[in-house]
Amino acid sequence: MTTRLERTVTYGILALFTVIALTPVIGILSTAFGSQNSLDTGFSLPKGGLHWNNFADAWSRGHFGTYLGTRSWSPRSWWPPPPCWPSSPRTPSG
Amino acid sequence: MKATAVTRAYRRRAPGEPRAIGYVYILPALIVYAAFLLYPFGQSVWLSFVHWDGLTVATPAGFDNYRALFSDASLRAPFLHALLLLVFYAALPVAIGLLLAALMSRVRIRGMTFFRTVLFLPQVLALIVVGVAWRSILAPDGLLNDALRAVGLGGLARPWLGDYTWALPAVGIVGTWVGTGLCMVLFLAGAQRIPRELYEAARMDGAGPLREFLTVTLPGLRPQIAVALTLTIVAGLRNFDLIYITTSGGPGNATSVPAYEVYHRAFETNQVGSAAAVGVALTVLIFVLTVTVSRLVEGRRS
Repeated sequence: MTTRLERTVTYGILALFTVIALTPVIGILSTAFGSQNSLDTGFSLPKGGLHWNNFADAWSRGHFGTYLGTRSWSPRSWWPPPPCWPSSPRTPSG
Repeated sequence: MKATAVTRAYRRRAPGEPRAIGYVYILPALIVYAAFLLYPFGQSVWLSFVHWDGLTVATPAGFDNYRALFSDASLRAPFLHALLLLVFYAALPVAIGLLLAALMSRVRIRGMTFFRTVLFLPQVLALIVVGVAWRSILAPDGLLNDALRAVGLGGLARPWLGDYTWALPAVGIVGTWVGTGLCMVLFLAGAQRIPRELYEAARMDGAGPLREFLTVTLPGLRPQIAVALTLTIVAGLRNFDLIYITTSGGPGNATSVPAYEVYHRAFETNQVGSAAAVGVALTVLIFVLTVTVSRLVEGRRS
């Protein structure tokens, strides 16, 4: 049997370590929802609401679709090659 | 007698099967191992005996690159830093993990899954992300300094990652944050295998929580402690990403570690031979430390 004091101390220590473990994670989440032009990093509510489009940008810029293999198994996914491939005709820029 | 006879019979090879067949079975794995591990390591060893800038022809260096590890202060420092960081990367996570596991296995906790998941969370995050998050916490206008100022300890506020004295412990604390969850989960799994009767017997003998921990939990967790120490020592010594993201070895070379020094010398100052010598020395150090820890912690069990 454990005493009431022992249980309180246990929960206190666990709560302390939970806060320590979660704080940086909350900072990451807060930054992830912030504006891309904002200089604020973490631990403040994002100005101008939550920027959900950051995740859409991250998905495309990080090539998550390719790396997760959602298209790589399909033969059609390899052809035609994307415009950035050297062999494909390049569009004039600028 | 009977057991010996059985073992002897078991060891006898199967009839009609040549003795060398075992080597054929492991040959595919051995080829992959040799191609992707032994050959690159052999090449690193060869590079450590030459002076090479990565472009021009390499010239023989003998043991110069290895002698420099002892004579050159800028090469000695990273190894000393790595050994100091082991306190934060290995000793502290194991100590805190033991404390948490002992608490969680002693008292019936409501929300055990929540606590276990949250405390393990830092382990599953990419170290790059961890580095970015902690860099903002430890910045001059970061959360830590804000918190210190809020409780009237503004005098302690400083640029943690830019301070010659505090940069290394600050990076070390990040390592403690990452490693504690893994140790705790290992110890919790080990604690579940300790027979309840041992705890009951200890309590009947009048043992308090501390004595119970020292006489039942700690000896029962010896194999898990060996595993946790091995994993955390290896992670601590080959630490690169956190250093690269948070301090890039600075200020000066106050937080430079061997893995970062390998990168710095090979790709920034074009001292490939010296970088290879640091890499080989780091490999030997990791091997010696992990074998020693395994022998010390787990060896006594048998």
